[in-house]
Parts: sequence; structure tokens; C-alpha cells
Amino acid sequence: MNRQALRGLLVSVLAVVLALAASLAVIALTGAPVGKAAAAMWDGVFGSPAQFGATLTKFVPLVLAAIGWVIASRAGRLNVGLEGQILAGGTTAAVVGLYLTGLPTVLHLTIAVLAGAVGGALLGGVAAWLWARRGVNDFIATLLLTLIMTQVVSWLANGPMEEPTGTLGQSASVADSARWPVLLPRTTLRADIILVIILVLVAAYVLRRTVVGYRLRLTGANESAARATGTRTTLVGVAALCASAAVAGVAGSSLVLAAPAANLAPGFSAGYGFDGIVVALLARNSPLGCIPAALLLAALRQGGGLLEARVGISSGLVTATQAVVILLVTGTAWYADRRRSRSRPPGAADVAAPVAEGARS
Amino acid sequence: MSADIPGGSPTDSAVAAALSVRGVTKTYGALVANDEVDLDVRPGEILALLGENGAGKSTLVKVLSGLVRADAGEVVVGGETLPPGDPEAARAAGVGVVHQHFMLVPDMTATENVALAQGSRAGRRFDSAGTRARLLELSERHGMPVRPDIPVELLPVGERQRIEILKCLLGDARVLLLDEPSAVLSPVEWERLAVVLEELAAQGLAVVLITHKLGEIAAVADRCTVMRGGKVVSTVRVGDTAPEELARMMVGRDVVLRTERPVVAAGPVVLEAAGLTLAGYRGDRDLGPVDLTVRGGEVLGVAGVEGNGQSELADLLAGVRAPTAGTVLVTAPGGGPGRTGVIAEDRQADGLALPLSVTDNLMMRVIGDEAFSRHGVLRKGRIRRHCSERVERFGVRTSGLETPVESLSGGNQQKIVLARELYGEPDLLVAAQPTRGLDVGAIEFVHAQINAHKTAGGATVLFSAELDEIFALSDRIAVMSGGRVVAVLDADDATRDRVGELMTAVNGAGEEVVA
Repeated sequence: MNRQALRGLLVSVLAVVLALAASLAVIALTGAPVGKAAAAMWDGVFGSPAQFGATLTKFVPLVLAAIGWVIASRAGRLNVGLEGQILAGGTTAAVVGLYLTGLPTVLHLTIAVLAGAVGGALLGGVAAWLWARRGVNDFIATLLLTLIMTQVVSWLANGPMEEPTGTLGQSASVADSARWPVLLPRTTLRADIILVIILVLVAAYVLRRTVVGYRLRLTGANESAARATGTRTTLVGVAALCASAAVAGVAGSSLVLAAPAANLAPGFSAGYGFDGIVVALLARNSPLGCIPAALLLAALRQGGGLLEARVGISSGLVTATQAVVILLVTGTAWYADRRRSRSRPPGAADVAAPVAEGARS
Repeated sequence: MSADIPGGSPTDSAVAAALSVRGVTKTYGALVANDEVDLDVRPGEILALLGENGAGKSTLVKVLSGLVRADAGEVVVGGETLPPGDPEAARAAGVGVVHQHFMLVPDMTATENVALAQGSRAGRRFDSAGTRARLLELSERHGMPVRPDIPVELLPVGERQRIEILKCLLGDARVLLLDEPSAVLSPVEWERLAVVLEELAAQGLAVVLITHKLGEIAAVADRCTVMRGGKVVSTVRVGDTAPEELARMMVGRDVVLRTERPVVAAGPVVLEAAGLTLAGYRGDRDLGPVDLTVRGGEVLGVAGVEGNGQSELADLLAGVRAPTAGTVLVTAPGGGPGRTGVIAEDRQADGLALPLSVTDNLMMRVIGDEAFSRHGVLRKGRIRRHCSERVERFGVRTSGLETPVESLSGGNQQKIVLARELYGEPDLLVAAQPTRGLDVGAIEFVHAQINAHKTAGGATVLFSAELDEIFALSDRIAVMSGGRVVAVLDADDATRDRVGELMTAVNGAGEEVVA
């Protein structure tokens, strides 16, 4: 690990400590007992195997969405539609899990997860096509497709895919052969977390050590220079968006195939796609950094739940403290970056190639 | 009003100087940017401040204009010591600065920009009509034509610079600092500006011209203060000092000012451009058709006033843009398609990925080669060896291969571009403004590399706004005007006057440089 990365890590840790202190201060302001609140937070995350398992269950889609964001943003693309791609991936995985029956577990589950990746990639592919061929801003395209996908899932769950009784507004459970096996008994944690860790490591390897990863980083850093030296930047952008969406699709498949109900229900993602962006921000776009960052956010979400139940703090306030954490962490990172660029000697800056003012921006 | 400087009572020399700098020191961490700098400018003289990039000129300008607070020392203007780090006080005392990157609001007119600068003084009413009248009056008096009612972003660079100068004069400047004013000007425009500066000085203004171009100093300056490594090396009378001597003081060693142009027997045709056309390169105007032929061992210089199609032609030859019509054929000496190396005009925008490392920037073209990756996986060891070799061979000064390129100096950044683009001996080198913004030492290096490429039998097309550079390196000179190549001259027959004439011929006097 080089010095810069170490510094980034230090900044993040410091920010988290600051943020936790700040959120306890907010809780204290409401008059709730701080000690009890802190204990509830702690118990919420580590209090019992069930709680810890639940934290790790939340970790899975968070870290995948974050990796999806990192892949796209390395290439300079903003995939804010991870949520939609999660929904798409979950839907295709559910279709395979529900209707493609009679297969052995290993095969059925594999196909269902792959279907999730393909489903995500298809939705991402639509956005990529709009971006590459029609000049639509990638931010807008991915975001708007998410809004559409939300409605599609709602319609499917209440219509064509609804369970036989037709009263619950959600699909039936997928076949047992398409479900992830339980990893920790008496918890919600299933074996998909192993796949997820492998995916994170693969993503980190591809970005660092392969030609594709290099071209991705190059395109993100300076598209014009990349194109001038032989990188097909549009293709890279499309590939990055699709890969990013495929990872989000896998997250969607997990949300269906590893959930207790294992079915398609409206809003089954509950914002993991957007939280994933926050995780990537916390991790400062480092794939491996996404692991601790996603753990932190998962713990905040999980611990927040118990805080609400045990100390009686309103859910709004819990969300607010989480926002404080996120703002402080990203704010600290920004501050550190600014300090770093300020402390650079002036010689580095004043040799910029002369460019007419306003020519770049 | 501005230019009529009250002489002050010249009782002692400190009062007589329009601007004195005494012992100014400024450090950034371990770096001493200004070290006990002393400087005097008298009313009515043009003082050149000469130094390489990083010599401390820009820091000194920032101290003088109050943008930076010095650690020690004082700045005295017209007998009054300026409060440190107060831009408003510096402006009020009569220090006018024309920065290299202009401080104009792009979508405001000249009048509005000038009024904005005036209005920043507390309590003044915003007087647009009055400002416009005074702007025009000054513009006429000093022979600096400006159009007051057009948003400045639509104006040519030269005109924007005049607006900056007039802005200072309207602000009652008694000292005018110009930071590298010729960087954005054509030779003709620079000559016009030089005349204006001489007149301003004659009317009693003190002018400080910051530059690293020796020719400019010889042309206009009375005295020259040379800085190196944050210190003032010497202040000399320009008339008594040879340019070689100034260069030696600036760089700290002997510098070959005029590189000897190697004579190489012309090889087979490498570049053949036929009927190259680019529709609407500027508004409704087309580029071309352009026909060019360049042989191995030959440098073709392309001269022209900026904005006459050179940048676009360079892009077409480099293959960065596709022509509307016509072909670019690059042939290797043995037949078959040849390789092209490109030095992009704006290296930071198009040549380098600034946030990425030295290694990443060196690998752009060759990353997919068998030598550096197998089955899509990078071969780290080979890449590291390759990059160390390149960095060493091109003398890139960097703290390491993983250092982000943005933290290197301009000269070292350009060396990285050269190290990458000249790797594997390309058949054709398209070099657009290869020395723009570089200091003397780096320019010398770039020229040597271009000559080495030529001696090795490569063909070169050199685009440059510096006529000196064109003449120093080229075997033939193509002159562009209005999107066409109006003439191709043999370098031995070409004169600066002839080339300058051709550069402006088609456009005529009516339409001057457009940025």
C-alpha cells in the first residue's frame, strides 16, 4: 500500500470516528440516554449472531452496488441507476427461479444468478446505448430508467407474476433449487456473501492488473488523450456501464434468491442502489475499500433499527444521524484533498500549458 | 488620469522608483519561491523580468499584486509601503497586472468588465456610460483598438489583452506588470503591443515585462532583472548585454540558442496528404483542400497566425479527426502503412492523463502489445523496466514511476509525451506547438529530440506559433492562412518578412487574428 492510499485510509477512519461521535451528540441533544443508545447501536450490529448475520446480509447488496459504481466511474461514467439495475436483475433472477424448474440446485442457482447479471446489464445496456448512440447524458438515462423499472416491478408483482391466490401483491417464492443455501444457521446470512467477496476481488484485480482495467482508468482520466492514443473510448464507456449494471444485477438476484421470502415484491431493493453510491464515495472509489465502507453502512442501517426499537428514537432521527455520518466522512475526504492540493508547491501549478481562458471547463 | 504619472519629488532614489521591492522572501514548505528579492522600476522605463519556469517570477507577481503575502520584505509603490497580502490596496496604489490567464468575465462586454473592476471600490456608483466613454477615449489615445459592446469571449485574444491593459490604465495604474504577454499573440500583434508599451513608458508609466523570451527583451526593455531559483541573479542594461549572456544567467549554464539544423538526405515519401478538407472548421469556413508531401529525414514547418487552420490540420494529420474529404497516407520506408507519433498542441487536454501515474501515461499506445500484456493481463515487470528506461533516456525528473503526472513541471510533462510518442521510432511525427510554455532548457531538449528523429530518417510536420522555432528546425516552410496552405517555401530561401507577409496575405488587414 502506498503512502497516498494509507493517508486516504487514515482520513476515512478519522472521519468515521468523528461521525459516530457527532451522531451520539445528536442523540444526546434529543434527551435520550447516550449510553443506552450506544449500547443499542452496538447490540444492533454485534449483539447476537442473528444481528451480526443481518448486518452481513445488508452488506451484500451494498458492496455490490458500490462496486458497480466504482467500475462505471473509473471510466468516467455516472451510473446513478444502480437501483433500477438491481430491480431488473432481481426480476430476471426471480423469473428463472420461478418458472425454470426441475433443475439440480447448483445449475438452477447458477443460471438464476447469471440471469440477474444479464437483467441488470440489459437495463444498463439501454442507458449505454442512449449515451453512445443518442448522446443522452448517462446520469439522466440511468436515473430515468430506474423510475421506469420501479413501476415495471410493481406491475409484475401485482399482475403477471403474482402468487396464485392473487392477494398479496408479490410473487410466489422461487424454487428451492434456486435459493442460496444458509451459511450461518438461525441467521439470514446465506452463501451469496462468498460469491460477493470473490466478485469484489475480481473487480479489484481487473481494474488494477488488466488491459481492460487500464483502458477504463485511462478513459476516465482523460477521454481525449485516450482516444488520441488508440483506445476506443465509446466502447469502453459502454462496456463499463454494462459491467457496472451487471454487478448491480447480481445484487438484485441476491435480494431475491437469498431473501427469507425469496420472491419478487415491489420495492424489494429499498434503496441499496443509492446507498451503494455512498459506499463507493466512502471508499473513495477503491474496490477493496468498498468492503469496510459497506460494512460500516450496513452496521449503521442495522444498528439504527435496534436504536429505534429499544431507545425509542424516531426513525427520522436515525436516518438523520446516518446522514451526518455520510456528510462528515465525505466532507473530511474533501477537506483532506483540498489540503493536499494546496500544500503542493506553486511551481507545479504555474507551468500549465497556456490555454485561452474559458477554453476549458 | 492614468498614464500621466506625477513624477513625485525625486529627492531620493527610493521615491524616484515607481515600484521598489525590498528583500521579499516567500516560501512554500521547503521550497523557497522568492529569496530576498530586490527590484526597482522607475517611471518611464520598461524592465524585463527574465527567468525560467519555477524561477519565482509568478510568485513575485503575486506578491506585488497582493494576492500572496510575503514571509518577509516590503513592496513600495510611489513611496508608500503596501500592506502585505491586500490586492485592493495594491490596485489602489497603482499596481496594474495583466495576468497570463486573463481575468475577464467571458460573457461580459469590455465595458462591463472594466466597470466591474472599477466598481469593486466601495461606494462607487456603477457608471456604464461613463466607463464606456473613458474606455474609448483611452483606447484611442494609446492606439489600442477595442470593441466595447461585444462579449469578450467572442473577441480575439489580442483584443482581450488590450482590454486587460486598458482596465489597468483606467484604474490609474502607475506600474503595469505583464505576465508573458506574447504567449497568446502572433508576431505581428506582439510588435504592435511592443509599440504601445514603449509609448506608455514614454508617458511615464513604469512597465514590468515578465518573460522567458530573449528576443522580446532585446526589442523593448531598457533593463533586465534575471531570476534563477528564487533569487535575483543580476540586473543589467539590455543594450550592454548579449542575449547569450542573458540566457546563461537565466539557466545557469551555457545554452545553445541556435540549434544547428542537421542536413539529412531526403528519404522516400512518408506522408502524403491529398485534398484534405474539413468542412466548417470555423463557423461556415472550410479547411483546405490541403496537399502536402513530406519525406523521411525532412521537417516541414507549418507557420500561420493562430486560428487559421493549423490546429485542425494537425488533428487531421495525426488521425485524431476524420477529414470531410481527402486522404492522409503514411508509408513506412519499406512500404506498408507507417506509424505516427503525435505531440498534441494542448498536452494537458489531449496528450496526458494528468491524475494518472508516469507509468500509466507512458503506456497509452503500447499497453496492448504482446511485450506488455498477455491474455489481457498486464506484465508488471516488463512495464516497469520499459518505463524506467524511457524516464531515464528522456531525463524526466520525477520522484517515481507512480507519481501522478499532474505534479510534474510542464517541461517534464512534455518529456513524457515525447518519450511515449517517439518510442519505436515512428515514421511520421506530428508536433503541434511542442515547446509551448516550456523554459529554455526544455525547449533545447525538445528541439534536439525532433532533430534526432529527423536524423534517424523520420518525417516531421512541425506546427508552431514561434517563427524562430519554425526557422530553426524546418527544411521547408508551409504558410497557412484562412484554412489553406498559401505557400510552401524552401527554408533556405524564406525570410521572416516573406513568411509574415504570407501569413496575413489572404485574410487581409481587415480581419485580424481570431482566437
